[in-house]
This record gives sequence, structure tokens and C-alpha cells, in this order.
Amino acid sequence: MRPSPLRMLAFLAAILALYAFGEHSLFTLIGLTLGSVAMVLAYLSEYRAGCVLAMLVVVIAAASASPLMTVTELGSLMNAVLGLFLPVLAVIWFALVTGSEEAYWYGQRLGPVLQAAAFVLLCVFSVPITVAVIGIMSPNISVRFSEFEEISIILLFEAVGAAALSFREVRPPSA
Amino acid sequence: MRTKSLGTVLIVTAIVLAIAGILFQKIPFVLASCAFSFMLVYARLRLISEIASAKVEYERTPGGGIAFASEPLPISLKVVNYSPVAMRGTIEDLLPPSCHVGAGTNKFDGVIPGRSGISLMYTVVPEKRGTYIFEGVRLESEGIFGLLSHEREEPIRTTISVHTAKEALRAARRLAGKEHFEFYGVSRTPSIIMHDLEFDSIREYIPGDKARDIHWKLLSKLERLMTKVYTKEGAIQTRIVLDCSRSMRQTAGRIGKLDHGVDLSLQLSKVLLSGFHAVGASLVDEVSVLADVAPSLSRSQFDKIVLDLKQAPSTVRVSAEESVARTEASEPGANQNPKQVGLTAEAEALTDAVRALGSHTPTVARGVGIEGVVKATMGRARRQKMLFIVISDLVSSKDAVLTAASICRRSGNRMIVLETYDDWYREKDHQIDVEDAEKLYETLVKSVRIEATLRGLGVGYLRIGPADTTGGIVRLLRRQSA
Repeated sequence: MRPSPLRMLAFLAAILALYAFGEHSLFTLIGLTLGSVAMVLAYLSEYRAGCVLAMLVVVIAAASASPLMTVTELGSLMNAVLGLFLPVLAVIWFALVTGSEEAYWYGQRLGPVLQAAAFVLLCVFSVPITVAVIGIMSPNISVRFSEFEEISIILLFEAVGAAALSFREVRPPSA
Repeated sequence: MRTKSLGTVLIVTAIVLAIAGILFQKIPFVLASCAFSFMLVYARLRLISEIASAKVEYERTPGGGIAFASEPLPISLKVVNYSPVAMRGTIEDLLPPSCHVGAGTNKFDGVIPGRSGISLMYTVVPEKRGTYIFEGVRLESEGIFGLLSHEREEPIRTTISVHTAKEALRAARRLAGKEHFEFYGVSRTPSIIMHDLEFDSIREYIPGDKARDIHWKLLSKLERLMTKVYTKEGAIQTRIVLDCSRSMRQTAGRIGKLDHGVDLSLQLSKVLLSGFHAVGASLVDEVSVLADVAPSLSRSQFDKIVLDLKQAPSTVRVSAEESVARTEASEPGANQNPKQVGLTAEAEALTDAVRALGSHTPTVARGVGIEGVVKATMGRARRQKMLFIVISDLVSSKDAVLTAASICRRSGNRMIVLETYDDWYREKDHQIDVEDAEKLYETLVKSVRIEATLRGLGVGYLRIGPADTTGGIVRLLRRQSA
């Protein structure tokens, strides 16, 4: 299979973003570098299992290297989205399409794309949304969340959102 | 919906990252967990959407010609994806039981691009005679990235009627050249004349009578021309009546009674046709005539009989013990409770239908089943003598056969009963104990009584088992008739 230039370009951009936005120690640098190289090799040899394994190394290294402390400030939120979330998403996608010659037309089915995007936006912006809601409900209270509370809110939104979207059952095709 | 191994890896990773985020109090881990969740949610939603909007059509076409047991039968399955989106996954044509793939494959694993199709070509080998129903197609749709899959069955029914093994036909052709089986009698239109010019009566001369047939001596006495009438004796028309009743359909051994009956009917008809006997065949159950071919000597008669016998119903496999219970319940007049003998819903319905027709009452139902065929045939034959060869186990259709035998006796027709003796077709999976031996003896005594009754009605009788070949049966019948 000829490697897709678009996929390679997206992957390289994602890796560069992970390098640029992270505060890397020696270990995370080694993990990210070796993981990326392994992913490229696995992609070229169409070995999906290997690529997924290397992707896990890259994701863990990138998450460890990220200096993100809060998602309530705009700067750190941008850092979270552009420097971690989107590159990680690109890396996961790159690993999952390894060995597949099929061109997935994501735009062909906009419904699932929009619903999943709404879900992920809800997760990422869950903390600012919560702060805003509390601010509207009780304007006199000054809200400040600890890191643990922010994690809890994101995970709560993630769990509820995933469960809500998974409730839909498969309907047989209409005759 | 089923999660595939890659999907499981992603779910576990998302959970582990979430736990790591809580333990190390690091938001990036939680965000990475969100990225994995996004992939899973998207894959699921897309698969649901793809399945809901799928427009796939299936068309199964069995190969032409007659399907024979143990012979490959070509099957073609066309799958057309009318949707613009590609269809990923596995498509498997579901085979009926007792069928296996001969050549090719009934599975397709891959991608069918949008607005295109595939064609699966393979052969199935049915193990035995009967009706085979292809229930549908199993479709395992694979989600994007191979994370999830969904399995469903599309009901596309195709029924194939499989004839007996080709070996039975080959044996019939071999036997036709070797064995001879002749039954002659007075007939209006004998196929071949065996004993010509046996004096019968005298009648007035009709222009066109042969000069040698004129009774010249009577001319001087009566002063008018009289003609001597001779009867012609020849091969009489024969009808093979195969009993397809409930008890005949049950199989508790390697060879079923009905399967053996079909083979015998084929081979006997071929032997008779080779001896210029006009032969017909009828398949009869308790209440109706399933198929019928009138006796004839035409060139295509054997082919017609082959096609006719193809319509014989399938046999039902039961255990030896169950078979005994069912046989007892199948006997007319037995005080039976279908639930006690573990009958299926279909069998119960059949029992009710038969009961409704009154065959369980002491008076024998008339006009249906074997005696119905005999009556109808005689009605059509217009006093022409006929031979009926009845193949039955004399369990469900005992009364019908006895009635038919007495009708034949009254009307001067001939009948031969080949009893597919029930006990010989059962395979015991354990040592016979005293109780079993007593039952076997009791059944044999019953059979001997029926034999005596039939012989008393002038019927030829043979008790046959699965080991009896057509050649042996023909020789025995010839010896009996001699």
C-alpha cells in the first residue's frame, strides 16, 4: 500500500504540536520520539497492532509532558485543545487507519461527526460551562475549582455523554 | 452490538487514563481519555447510522437441474449495495442443516463499495434426500476503524428439494438390464401380448373383423356371420404407491423407511419399464395424494417418475426410543396424547388433522390416502386390470392398505405390499433387554397377523428391511408369483 501523504502530514503536524506544547523531560522526550518512529514504521509496514501499541506510548508520553493545570483559563484551554487534545486525536486516528486502504468519507455522514464533536466539546468545555452555569445561578459566589474537582467534572461529563450517546440502539434498515 | 478486540483496547485505555488522571491529579490524562472516548462514540454512532441507511439486496439462485443427495449443487448469491456508503464486514450465506460446502466459499469478508455488488459462487452438498431451506444471510457489519461490529440475519428463504442419491438411479439402470419382473393378465390395451388368442366369447360379425376369426361352422346353423372373440393377456398396468405417512417419515437408523421406499420405487419402476410394463407412481400420506404420475410406457415416463418421487417429504430423525413411542402413537386407534410422546407442534397439528378426518375411530376413513388412490385409479382404468405395488410400513396407513386390498380383491385387481418393517429400520444404541425383546416379538406378531390378513385377501406380501436391495426383492416377488 502506498502511504497516504495526507495521513502522514497530519501525523507529523500532530507530533510537532505535541513537541511544541509540552514541557518535556528526558523520559517523555525519549517516549515521544521512539513512539512516533515506531508508529511511522508500523504504518509503513501496515501493522495496525504495533501502531496502536506505539500510539499508546506516544499518548502517555504527551499527556505526561503537558503542563496543563487548569481548563478554566482561556490560554490553558487553547493549550489543552491545540497542544494536546487535537494532536492526540490525530495520533489515535493515524494508528486506527493503519493497514486500511479504504478511504473513509467522514463528511458523507455528518450526523455522527456532529454528535461526536458535540460530545467532545462538552467534555473539554465542561469546566468553563459549569463555572458559567454556577455564575449565572449564583452571581455572588466566587467559584474556584481545584485540579481534582476539574478532573471530576470532565469525567462526569464524559461518562454521562458517552452513556447517553450509547443508549441509541441499532435499527434495522427500512425496507 | 459487539466490541471487537481493538475497541476493547481503546475502552480499557480510556478507563486507565481516566484513573491515572484521578490518581496523579493530571488533567492531560483525562483529556487524552476524552479523545479515546470520542473515537469510540463516533465509531458507534457511525455504525448505527450506516446500518439504518443500508440498502442491500440479496438474491440467491440455486443451479438448474435436479439436485441429488451427496452431489454438489451450485448456488449463487448476489449482494448489491445500493447505498452510496461502503459496506464493511462479513457476509455468510447460512446453510441448512445436513448440508456442507463442496467447493468455493459461502462467506465474504471485506468491503463492498457504495453502489456496487459482489457475487458468491459455491456448491453445497446435501447429505440426504429431502427438502432443504436456506433461511437467510448472516451479515456482520464492521464499524469504522474495526472497533465495533453488529450481527444480524437477513431472511432470504430459498427452498431446495433434493432427490435421492444418484447411485440409486445408476443402480436402477443396472437392474433394468439384469432383472425382469412381469405381471400379466387380461387387459384391454396390454403393452405387450404374452398369451394371445385365448377364446373368450362369440358375437355378431362387424365389418372389419378378420376372416380367420369368423365362426364358419355357425354360419350354416344360424345363417349369419358370427365372430369369435379372443382375449389378450399381457403386461398389466402397474402403479407404485409409496406411503409418505407420519410413521414412514421417521428415521431412527442409518436409512430411513421413506428414503428406502423412494429408492425402491425408482428402481422397481425402471425394472418394470424395461419389461414394457406401463408404470405410474403415487406419493400418498394419510389424507392426500402428494404427487401422481399415471401409468404409461412413454419414453419420458421414467423421468416423470423421478420428478414425481422428488416431491416425497423429508424424513425426520428421531432416537430409537422416541421412534418406538411415536410409532405406537401413530397406529390408528391408539389412544394417544401427543404431549406425552414429545411430538413437535407440526406433528401435533398433523395428528389433529388426521383425527378430525376420523382415522382414529374404529371405522376406517374412506376416500383418502392409499385406498383413495386405488379407487380413483380403478375409476379411471375403466375395468382394466391393474397391479398396485404398495410400499408402506403398515403403521399409520395400516387400515388404508387393508381397505385398498379388499377393494382390489373385489374388483379383481392385484396388489403387492412391501412392508418396510419398522423395527428393522431402527438402530439400537444399547443392548436389547427382556422388555425390548418382548416388544419386538409383539410387533412381529402384529405384523404376521397383518400379513395373514393381506394374504387372505390375495395380496402378495414381502417384509423388507434396509439391507434388502431391489434385485433381491424382485427375485423374491418373481418366486412368489411363480
